[in-house]
Amino acid sequence: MPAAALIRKFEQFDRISDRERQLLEEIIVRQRAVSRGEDMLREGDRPTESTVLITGFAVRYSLLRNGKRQITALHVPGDFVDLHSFLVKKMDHAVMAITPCTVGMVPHETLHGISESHPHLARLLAVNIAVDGAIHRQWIVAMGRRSALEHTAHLLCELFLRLQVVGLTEGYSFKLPLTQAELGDSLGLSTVHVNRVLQDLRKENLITWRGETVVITDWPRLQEVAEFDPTFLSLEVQPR
Amino acid sequence: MPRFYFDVREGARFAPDEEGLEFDGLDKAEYEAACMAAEVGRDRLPTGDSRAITVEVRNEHRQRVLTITVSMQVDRVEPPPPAHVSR
Repeated sequence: MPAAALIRKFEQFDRISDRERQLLEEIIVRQRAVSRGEDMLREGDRPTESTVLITGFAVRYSLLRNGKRQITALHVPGDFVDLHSFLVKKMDHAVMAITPCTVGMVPHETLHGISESHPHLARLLAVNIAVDGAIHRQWIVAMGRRSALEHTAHLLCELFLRLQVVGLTEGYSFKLPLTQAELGDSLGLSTVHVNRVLQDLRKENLITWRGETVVITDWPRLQEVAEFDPTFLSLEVQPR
Repeated sequence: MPRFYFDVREGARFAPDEEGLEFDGLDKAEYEAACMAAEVGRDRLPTGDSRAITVEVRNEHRQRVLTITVSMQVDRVEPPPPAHVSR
């Protein structure tokens, strides 16, 4: 079921009714495959559908004139990569697949319909956008004020919890198909520095990262190093 | 692509790079090492535990080919007593 991960994510925000579940199951009208390195959205696009990641990983990013890239968000299955495009209309950033992806298309018309007739579900969509914003705030704090090691640890804590929500962790292990260059572009650090920080995290017995598999070997201490507080992810079932 | 190793020296602390990374030439490796040195410097130098960070780059044969040092010099200056101002 293409909307399974999306529904799982929404169930972490609040209880959803059978009718709402049914609407979410029908929200994706079409699927398409996106290859690794392909832009699913470009800056300046005016999409008429929002895109949900069904499988694979994607990044929101901006490119500067000097060729430098800043990744501003990492997306995992169950995420809308551009729910906001329903509201802001014109894309102010691009979205690229960093692995082969299957994506689902959700017409803005459908989202508009939900906002007219299903206010609770519309609020859950708003929570989704609010959490995207909260994640951006955490990234700003980390980028501006945390050390490279703390910043990297924080990102790994965030990704672990987000992947856990959609059932993509096994114990403290998860697949993270990010190159060190992509990680550097996410953290605002050079590839060499990222490589060194990962070696330090391993030496401190906090994580291991082999191939695409990350294992958090000391979850309490990783959170401690990162000063990680999961509040920003809003992972609490409560009336919204 | 050749592999380069980036060891970091910070005061008495020496952290050898056991993995290395591949870059398509020394120029690229130099730029990356310079970026790292600046980034590590930003994290560490203002706290004053050490005043210099050196990145030592070795090639695939583990021979040193480049070193980059960023340092911070802080000088406190005793200001002269204020000049007497007559009223």
